[in-house]
Amino acid sequence: MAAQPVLLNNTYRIQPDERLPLFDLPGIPAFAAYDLRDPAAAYFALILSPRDPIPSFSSEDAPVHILWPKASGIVLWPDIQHRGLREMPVLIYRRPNVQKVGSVSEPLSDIVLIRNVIQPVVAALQELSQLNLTHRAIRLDNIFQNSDGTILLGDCLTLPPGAHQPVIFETIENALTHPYGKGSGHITDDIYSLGVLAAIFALGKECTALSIPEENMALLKADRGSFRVITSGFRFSARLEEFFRGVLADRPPERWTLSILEKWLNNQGIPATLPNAPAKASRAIAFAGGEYYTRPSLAIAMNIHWQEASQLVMEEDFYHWVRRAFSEQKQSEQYERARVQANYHGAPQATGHRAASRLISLLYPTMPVSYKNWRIYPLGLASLLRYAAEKEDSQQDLKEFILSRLIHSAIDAIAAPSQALTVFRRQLEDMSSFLEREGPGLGLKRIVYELSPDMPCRSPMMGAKYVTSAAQLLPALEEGLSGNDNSVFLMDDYLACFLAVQMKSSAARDIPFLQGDWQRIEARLAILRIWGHVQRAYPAGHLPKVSQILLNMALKLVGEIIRNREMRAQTEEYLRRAAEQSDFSTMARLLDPSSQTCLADQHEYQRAKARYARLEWEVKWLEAGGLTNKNRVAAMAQRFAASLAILSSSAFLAFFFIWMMT
Amino acid sequence: MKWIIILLFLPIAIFLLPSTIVLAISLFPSLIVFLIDNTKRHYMTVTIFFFNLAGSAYFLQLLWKKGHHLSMIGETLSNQMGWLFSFSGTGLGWLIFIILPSIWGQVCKAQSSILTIRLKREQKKLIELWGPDIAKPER
Repeated sequence: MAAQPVLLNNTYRIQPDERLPLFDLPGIPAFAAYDLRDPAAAYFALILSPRDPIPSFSSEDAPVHILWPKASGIVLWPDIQHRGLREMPVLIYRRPNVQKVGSVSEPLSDIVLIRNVIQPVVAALQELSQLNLTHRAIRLDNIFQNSDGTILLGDCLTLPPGAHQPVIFETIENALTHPYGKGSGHITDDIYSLGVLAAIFALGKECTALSIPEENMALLKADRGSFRVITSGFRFSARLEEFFRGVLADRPPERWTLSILEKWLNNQGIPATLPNAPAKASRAIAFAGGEYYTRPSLAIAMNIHWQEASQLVMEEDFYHWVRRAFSEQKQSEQYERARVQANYHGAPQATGHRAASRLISLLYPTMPVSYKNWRIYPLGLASLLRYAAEKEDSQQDLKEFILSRLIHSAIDAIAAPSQALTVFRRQLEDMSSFLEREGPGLGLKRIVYELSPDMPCRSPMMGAKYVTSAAQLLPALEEGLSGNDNSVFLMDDYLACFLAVQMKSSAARDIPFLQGDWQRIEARLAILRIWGHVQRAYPAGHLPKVSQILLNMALKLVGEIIRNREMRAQTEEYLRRAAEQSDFSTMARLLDPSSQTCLADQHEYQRAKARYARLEWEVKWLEAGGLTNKNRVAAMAQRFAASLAILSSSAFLAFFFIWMMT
Repeated sequence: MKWIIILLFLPIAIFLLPSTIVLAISLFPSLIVFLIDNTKRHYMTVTIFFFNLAGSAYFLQLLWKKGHHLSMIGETLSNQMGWLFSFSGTGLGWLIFIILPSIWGQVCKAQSSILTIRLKREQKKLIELWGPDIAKPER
């Protein structure tokens, strides 16, 4: 049976039963799509993960040499896992008449290589450069061939930059970096990837670099240089040799920029830059079974053998080597200072790890920031956390990493940081406090949402909805609830983090009350207040299921907050009326401990309690014979007898003497 | 205070010497009671004295009828009715002093029961209004 087409913005029709594997990305399937206004035009749609934000892009300045989306949005997509429909983000692309490249068997001649591969890719990079973007996905399975043989680059917006790049296409530094922690990088990273791509096209089957195992690639490139490894020792024409030497330079300052590439393509003179080999030590340092003469090679080895590195940096031998082997007093003082700084911002048992990180940065400044198994560039932290923040075995190390201020120091060491880095540095400073405490709305998840404000809420309570703003929360909750959720608090860690970021000036203020056991009165009141804030800011009409759950919570709270039965019954009635209107802010206000009602109830309760205690004392006194005590009774009776005697005899005597006088 | 009362009543006692002497003798039972009375504030003495005094009014009436002279004291005190009234007063006072505590005890018992019931009823109302926690003592 043909699947129902799915509509996007009433403009595009996507066919769930028409797969287009040609345009698939890793983990992202492609489906045929059509424009309702122009049925002849062919499109395809990429159905993205509902756990990630939709990439932002402008379709007006769309690059021509890259597959670029035309439209984006949210669709209700058949969800096989949950047997229903689910909101999924989608990107629509114009479907070009292309073939996937995949592999290269026949080498291209110089002219064809330059015309079909290098020129189109350079043009694509120029377009991206104007948009202040990088591609970071130039690889064999992400390029297409037009009918005229020229290359069309695949999508570069959908996945984290460099996340699926084979190591061969990456610079030494990027090869060592976590796939999700690379950040957007620099256009020269794309130029390097272009160099590798061009070499594969130039060599065809002769490109032996493709058969080098990935785990050996980075060290091999560091040892022999990327040029020699990638070109597999082949002798090219002078022009191409110049090209490969320029684009495959391992040191970023030596690598060709776009302007140099343009000059080369236009046969203009290129200023010669002699490769600047790293300073070689007068004697090698032994480390992890090898011997190293240069700081970069040692840094790479330390990254690969981290445990040994954390021990090496705690030994005096290392600092002696730095001081004597390079004869640079100033540098060695920097290393000493880095060792001292490692004593701070973390547990003493992790000092070696922090020291290793700082010293690797000094040995090889363009290296990613390293800590244990993690290597990232600062701007890659957001995408790394989106990937890793929920994995139990990653959380502790990532927390230590951020709190150790290694990333802060890496940014501070940059002479002229970009605006993005400066903003990020400030964000990082503000966010460190979220890691120092545990609880809902805090921790790594909070930082995920702080760094990625477009992140959809990952709470399971969102059900099949894709929620990216607080305005969508209540309707999504209503749809996601089954109606039998009596034990639900209507809050979880994801929601707390999401709200803490989306509603900083209102709901976020109640998040701290969620720390600890949610059975506490303060926590449940906070949940009620939070939804009151959301409902007040984003009214969502009648929400019977959400209202019922909050009403159940509120009715239980009434019993615990308000003691007077009559006042309680009255408050319950008001709560029911508010719940009928889905007026959560009124419900929260009714149970506010500082409200007139609650304060009066507390005051009267204290008085009643004192009164009860007094009555209890009196009852006990009476039951212990307070009034019937023999001595007391006797004393009172005697007093009464005396009084009676005085009164009666005085009266008698008075009457007697009056009678006597008359 | 005692001395003020004595100084106040001494001139009257001297002025009304025959009455004073007759009263002193007819109130002799009260004197005995005073000597044996170990109650606080001498309630027994007070009770019996005043009833004794009331009974002794007959002697005073006789004395004043006969002219209120010292020579009439003997005749007055030999009147048997006078002694009957005097001792009857003493007896009545003593009876009241003995019986009243048990009557008083019964009254107090009844009062205690009524009060206890009333107090417990009020406690029950408080619990109905404020819940059982109101009965829990403050920590």
